[in-house]
Amino acid sequence: MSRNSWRRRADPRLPGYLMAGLGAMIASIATGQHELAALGAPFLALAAIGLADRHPVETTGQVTLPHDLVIEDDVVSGQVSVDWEGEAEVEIMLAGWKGITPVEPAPNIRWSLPQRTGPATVPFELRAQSWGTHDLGALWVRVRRPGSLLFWERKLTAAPAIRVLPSPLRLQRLLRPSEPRAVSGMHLSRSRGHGTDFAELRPYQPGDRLRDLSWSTSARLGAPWVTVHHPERTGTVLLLLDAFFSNEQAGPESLARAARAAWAVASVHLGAQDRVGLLARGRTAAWVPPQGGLRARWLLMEALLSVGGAAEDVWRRRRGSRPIVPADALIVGVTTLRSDTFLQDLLHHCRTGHTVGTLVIDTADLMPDPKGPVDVVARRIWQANRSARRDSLERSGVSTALVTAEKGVGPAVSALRRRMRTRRRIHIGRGA
Amino acid sequence: MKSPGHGGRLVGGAAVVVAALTGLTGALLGATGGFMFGAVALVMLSVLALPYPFLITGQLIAGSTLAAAILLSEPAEPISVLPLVAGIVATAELLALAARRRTAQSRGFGDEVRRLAVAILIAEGVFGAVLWLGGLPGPTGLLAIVLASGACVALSFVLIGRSPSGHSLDQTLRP
Repeated sequence: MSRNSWRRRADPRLPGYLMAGLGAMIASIATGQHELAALGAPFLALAAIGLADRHPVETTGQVTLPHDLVIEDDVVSGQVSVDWEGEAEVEIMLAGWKGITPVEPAPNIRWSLPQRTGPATVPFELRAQSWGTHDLGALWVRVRRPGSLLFWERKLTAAPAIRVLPSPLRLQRLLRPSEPRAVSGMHLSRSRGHGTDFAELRPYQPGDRLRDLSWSTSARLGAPWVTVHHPERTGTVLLLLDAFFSNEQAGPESLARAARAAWAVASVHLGAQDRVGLLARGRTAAWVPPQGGLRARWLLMEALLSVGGAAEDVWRRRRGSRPIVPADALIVGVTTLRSDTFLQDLLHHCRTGHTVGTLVIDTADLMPDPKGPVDVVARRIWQANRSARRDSLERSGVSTALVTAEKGVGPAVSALRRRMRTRRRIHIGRGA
Repeated sequence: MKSPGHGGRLVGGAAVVVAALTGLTGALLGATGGFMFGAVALVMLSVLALPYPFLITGQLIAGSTLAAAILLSEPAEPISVLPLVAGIVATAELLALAARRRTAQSRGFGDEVRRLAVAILIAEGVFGAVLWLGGLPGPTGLLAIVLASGACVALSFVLIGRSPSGHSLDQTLRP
């Protein structure tokens, strides 16, 4: 522990004792009255005693939360453990928290422990006020030796963050599908087999069913050809969730937009009996329950919150740590296009033969108003950069659509569907 | 464990009561309108120091000024200022304790009460001892007092040093 990290402060009594004592001494000298010196001496004596021990107290501490994932309005219990050397008076405080309301102690999460030796553990309770990822701030301590007029304060450690899922009622309102059938039939499974949806024509091979023979094609080409269909089974849709926002933008509205976009895609594919997976952190997807419902919504929100307020995640940077994606999966990215590594992942999936679409969440309106020409130019550069990234994705075969605040999710999903269909037709046309 | 603010209010109330008694003592010892005004100022500063702890400095200066004025006035006996000094120190200690307890959940009162008693005893003892030393015949007494007090002041300034820069916890908490 570096001594420099401590901040030394004086008790308000210290300047009072010194000034009262000094003033009386000066008056004593000026007037020649020894009684005034007697008056000043006690104050100076108390000041000197209060300054006797000037060394900081070695202190360690941590904040523990048994659960870091709760539902809105839940009460979360945790505890703060602090240890220090020797005997001291310790004030402990959690400062800088957001999105929570202290329940015990209230209104501040702050304790004043009497003169004692460490360690000490104090419990606290707080209420998750609004959904989102909330930082509990930092653990501060203020330590003083018994009777000292100097105290030392220091930020010991950062407190953990809690992820707060929306309450059931809010969740229903938040994730109400805007266009229930907007993406119905958006993609077909890349697997081929017995079904009704046409996949391709190919020359007859031993083992093919006679009923699959295309009589017209066979007659025209003079050789037996068979029609191949997409199988009658569910497809796989994988929602790839990006680390959406910087900490400043990780407000509920930003996350709500991402959640609405992801849920619009997920709910429709769940309705079409597709298997829907969420991939936020790690390499394996969490599969959404086929019935949808609250559990599925919460799963989506949990996945979003796990990346919602985070900076660009490190796991994507490691070589060979790309997520495991089923071969027949349709991949839909939900992103703000801030992360280079996320873009590289999308391109990688496109190159490996997956059909990839991307919903780009627009958060430009959530930014604070520009304060000057520099801010205006910076915003233009940011928007130009985002457009360039979208163009780059489009050129590489990834369809994109922008989810704006004005138009909402529905039109964006429809636009994405149209682009993906057009691209597929072009692809089939080139193949033919 | 008491809820935050409860202990602070109790100790703050005690501080105001002690400040009022100290002011009353000062007014009775001075026995003129000017001293009455000084006593009222002392009590007012003590009350204001409850929400604004930095005013403890002002309370101490006001108290010592009142005591000095009483000592300089003709009819007063120097030893009669003893309860006034005790009251000033007790008020300052109680105000500092109230400030600590106002926003924090606190445990235990025993140590603070003991520390308050020790501070009052030190103040009384030093005041009495120095007053007795000053009463010794010849200039030696006053010289000894001045030298001892000067050493105390020099030592205090050396010990205080310069506080490292940076925001305090109070600044961090300020919205």
